[in-house]
Amino acid sequence: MSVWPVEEIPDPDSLFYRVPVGQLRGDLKVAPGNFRENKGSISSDWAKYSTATQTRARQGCPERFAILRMVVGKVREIDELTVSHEPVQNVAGMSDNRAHTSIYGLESSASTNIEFGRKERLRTELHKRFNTWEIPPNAPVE
Amino acid sequence: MIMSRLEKALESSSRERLFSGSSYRVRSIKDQRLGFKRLEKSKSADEFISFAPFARQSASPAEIEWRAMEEEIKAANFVLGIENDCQEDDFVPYTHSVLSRATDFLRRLMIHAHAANVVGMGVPQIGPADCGSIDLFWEKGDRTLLINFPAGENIANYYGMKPKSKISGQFDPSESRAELIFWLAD
Repeated sequence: MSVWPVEEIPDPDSLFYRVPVGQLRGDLKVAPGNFRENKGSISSDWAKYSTATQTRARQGCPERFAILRMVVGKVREIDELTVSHEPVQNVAGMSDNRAHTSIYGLESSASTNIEFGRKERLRTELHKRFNTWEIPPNAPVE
Repeated sequence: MIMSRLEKALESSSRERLFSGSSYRVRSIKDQRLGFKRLEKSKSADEFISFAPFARQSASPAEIEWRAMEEEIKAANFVLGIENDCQEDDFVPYTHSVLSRATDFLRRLMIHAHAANVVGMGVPQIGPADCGSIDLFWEKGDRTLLINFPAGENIANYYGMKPKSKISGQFDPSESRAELIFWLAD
């Protein structure tokens, strides 16, 4: 059971998002395809409780990851995307992580209307806002 | 000296190329024998052909764009080697099938664009997206077009954005959909 409280993340705060280097093109640029859900959300770390370096190393093999910084308010200004602080503590098979934060809405829409190209729109909007590496691919491991 | 039949045939064919506006040419037809060197009897026809030193005319913008596209397609094969070394639960391997669907579509689109004299739309980035799908992504200044080809489905989804105009939808990628490129170029 988690004793860390769920907090409201202010708009000016940042999230760190891990991108596997093995999924990057040869030019190592951020691409819309780098924004993707895993287990139902885009998983990230709140900068209040994690540095970019800690996020890079969280899963092991930090050299395999690059890090993007996403400003919470800029995520929220994209239609249908929401940001929720979801600390992980005492969960079987998972390491504790007070910084853990989920971005919801990329795959599933709250609306019942079918919108073709919806996910492409959201990925384009994310890429437009966040296309500069906080820790670039192949950066030395600290 | 009597020219061999092969030599005559090649010279004739070269002249045809010269006068038909081919991309192959020599400086002066009067002063040069079209760049041919005399074939030694002992040499093969392949060696003879390799002697012909025609200067390549500078490529047209359409040719340059086509070559850049083929380079991008060749580079995109890296997606076939991507493994799930980051233990993503939603990982689906990238297949030849979905990559071909994307690249075949791109070639058709480029052919239609060039046939309509739309050149310079640029070559999209071809890259991996979620669940084994492939993206084509054009980014030209303040305009973008993203087309996604999902794994296992014969459809494509797209979204385009430029000042005062947005487009989105779904289509069968066996169609050319040249209007997307016209939208991007307009």
